[in-house]
Amino acid sequence: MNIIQIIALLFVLWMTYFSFLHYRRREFSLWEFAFWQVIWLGLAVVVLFPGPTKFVIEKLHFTRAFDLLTAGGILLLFGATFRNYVVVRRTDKRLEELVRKIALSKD
Amino acid sequence: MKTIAIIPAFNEFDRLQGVNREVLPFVDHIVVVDDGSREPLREQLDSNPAITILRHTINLGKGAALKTGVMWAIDHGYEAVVFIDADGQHDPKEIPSLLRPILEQRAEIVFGVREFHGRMPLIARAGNHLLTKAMQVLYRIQVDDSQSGFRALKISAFEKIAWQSPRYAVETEMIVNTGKHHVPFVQVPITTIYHDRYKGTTVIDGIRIMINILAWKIL
Repeated sequence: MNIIQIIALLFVLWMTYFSFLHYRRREFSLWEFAFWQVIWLGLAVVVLFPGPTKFVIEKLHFTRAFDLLTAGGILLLFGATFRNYVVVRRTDKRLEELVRKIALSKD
Repeated sequence: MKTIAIIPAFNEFDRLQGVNREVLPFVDHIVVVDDGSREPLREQLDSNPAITILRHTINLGKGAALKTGVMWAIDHGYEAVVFIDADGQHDPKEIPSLLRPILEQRAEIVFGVREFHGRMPLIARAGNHLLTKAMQVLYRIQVDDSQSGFRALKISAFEKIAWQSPRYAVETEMIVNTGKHHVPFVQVPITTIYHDRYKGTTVIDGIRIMINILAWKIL
């Protein structure tokens, strides 16, 4: 096992613990917890047994499994950023409308 | 024409009372929108039936406060509004000259244009110049002061001018919407009273406004 694999496994364990923590605090539903566990478990499998990913790596013209993970991670980050932007905008808008409604109703 | 002044205020305890007193002779009513001040402004101001104080429970920004004021004005049948800052930097005696083009039906929105002189910091002058030029070039609308908050609006034009910006970009978005919807406008020179240090748009606000100017053009 090389150093990158060890770091990646520690990351997986850390994130698994955090997912469980959110589930225990009832901030995640069972389904949300399961979804994130599948993601972390998948990451662990790819890190420990990179062999089967070779097919995908060759198809996509990557040289290493790590490059595939990095590219996938960046795509996920863009997706998550966009999703966060949409949610924050929507929440801002609703908050503004609510605050205005309260202000006008207390006149 | 029933007229109303809308004064957005955030922690502006010192000058607001005086601003209200000076504005009242020129309009039928005043709405102060307390945008989440630390201490509710209602408790600081003398009660007056001609002054309504609305309070945002949290700070939303100038754009949101102005919109709340306009909503109140629409609900109560006012026909023209004047936007004026709470810090006393605008001269209320100039309200009639802002309202006149609307009363004479020459315009649906009137922009107060400041004289840029030494009291305004160089960076603010340069920023204002840059933002104004960008807006003039991109939207082909000749307004010479994109950041002045002293303005008058005919309520019936609000739907065309209506802004989404909750914060300082509201001034610019009003002009952009004026250009987009070909709303008749007039510019009126105004004086600016500097009481203390410059409290207008910051450099960060300026950068945000510039991003907005570009985004509104693309989106």
